[in-house]
Amino acid sequence: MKKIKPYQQDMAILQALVKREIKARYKKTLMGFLWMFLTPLFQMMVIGLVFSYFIKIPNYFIFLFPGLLAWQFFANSLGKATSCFVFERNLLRKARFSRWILPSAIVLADFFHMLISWGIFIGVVKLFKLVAYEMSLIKIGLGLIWLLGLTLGISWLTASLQVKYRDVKFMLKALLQLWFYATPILYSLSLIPGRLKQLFYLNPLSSIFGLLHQSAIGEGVIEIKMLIINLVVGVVIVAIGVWAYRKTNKNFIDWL
Amino acid sequence: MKKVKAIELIKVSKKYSIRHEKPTFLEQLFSKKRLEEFWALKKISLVINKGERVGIIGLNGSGKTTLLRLMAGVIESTEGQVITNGRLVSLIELGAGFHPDMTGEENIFLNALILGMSRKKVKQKFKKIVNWADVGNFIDAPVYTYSDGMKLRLGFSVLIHTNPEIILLDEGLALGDEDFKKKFTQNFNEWIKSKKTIVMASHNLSQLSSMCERVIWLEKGRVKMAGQPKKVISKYAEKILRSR
Repeated sequence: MKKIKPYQQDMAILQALVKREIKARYKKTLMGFLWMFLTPLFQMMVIGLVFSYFIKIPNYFIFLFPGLLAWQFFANSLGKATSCFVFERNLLRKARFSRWILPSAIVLADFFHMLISWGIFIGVVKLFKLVAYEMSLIKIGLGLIWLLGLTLGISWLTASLQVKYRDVKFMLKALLQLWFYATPILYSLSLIPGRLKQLFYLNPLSSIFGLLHQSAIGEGVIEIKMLIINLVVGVVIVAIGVWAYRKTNKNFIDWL
Repeated sequence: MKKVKAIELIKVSKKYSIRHEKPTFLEQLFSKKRLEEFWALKKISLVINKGERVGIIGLNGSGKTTLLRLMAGVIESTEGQVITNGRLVSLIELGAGFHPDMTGEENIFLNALILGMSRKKVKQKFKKIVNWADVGNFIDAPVYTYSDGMKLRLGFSVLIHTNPEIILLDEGLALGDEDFKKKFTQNFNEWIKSKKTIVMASHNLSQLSSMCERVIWLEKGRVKMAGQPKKVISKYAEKILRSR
């Protein structure tokens, strides 16, 4: 019998799992992806009402949407991916296969849903000419791919740790809550005074959201220096994720 | 005929640290407690040739399941090396690995892929797998609607259609109804006929002595005795009787 290349098999499994995740969402709820769109929409309305008193950004409601959408993908897929090895322990026991596929499939399926929402957002903004700014689809794409890479890296880290330490899930939840406000989602970096700005260099999400805001509606800032430092911090985090996964994945079963 | 190695273990040891509670990440960060160690397997060296049928006996906790899991490759040894040669399936966790919300068909696909079958092969064999499993028109229904027997048959059906060369069995295959047992025995006999390598751990001594060519007796993670089934089993039985 012909030997199948391991990476080909990995891709086949990944594809099957992503399909499963997407299908599961559609099966459970009619128009499953709609929730991916509606949640940030409601958030946008509530947050917009309150914060528009403090934050003066033109088109504030529309400004909020892309950031909230991207954040929802980031936070939700991480939350789900972190527990995936624990939930799929039976699958892990069954045979030896590349375990990284499991969290990656969850993140990728959520990414797919987010892309649909982006499509709707872009369509609506263009159709009703909600902003005068000409969107840069290439830059949006770059920002989203960057976000995807970072999310995958963090999901490998948290999912690997969660197998052994069951409190990682809760720590992540707390961290995400802080992280939400520490990331330019509700505000733009241009509103941040100089000294405080230093902190945003350490947050690998800063430039991603700046990029998304900037390319989607022309607000928000991109600073090259910050962008490079954010990128480096992001790469380091992903590398830690890969390292943690490689170190632990062979003995996951011992902890499940 | 020249003997080909199917499974080789070279001084394999497996260590576990005993924890009385699940560790937490916060604790781990701040404390450097030394943990009690426990060696589930200690320096096991073993060669199983292609086409051989080997039984593993031992009391509960002697390391049988750990040994099978190491052979299956789902865990890694702390020391030593495990080498396997040939397509391997483990029937250690049969019926597990199904996703309750997915249909039988989707589950077949995912499971077969994980077991190393190519997508093309699964498509080719799909009908056969369904027929063997005999789940009827439940194949389009989510697996949570299946009875335990159906899940068992489906899991087993996928496994046997991957055309394995090495088969690992754990006890508890007394599962299922008479019908399943019959089908299982039929398959097992076919495996014997076609000279598959079979490693089985069991407490059913009479079954082992009739099915295996060699028996390995594990005690506290070490090989206590290995050789002809009758010899090893009689010594083992003797020891158990004495200790009672």
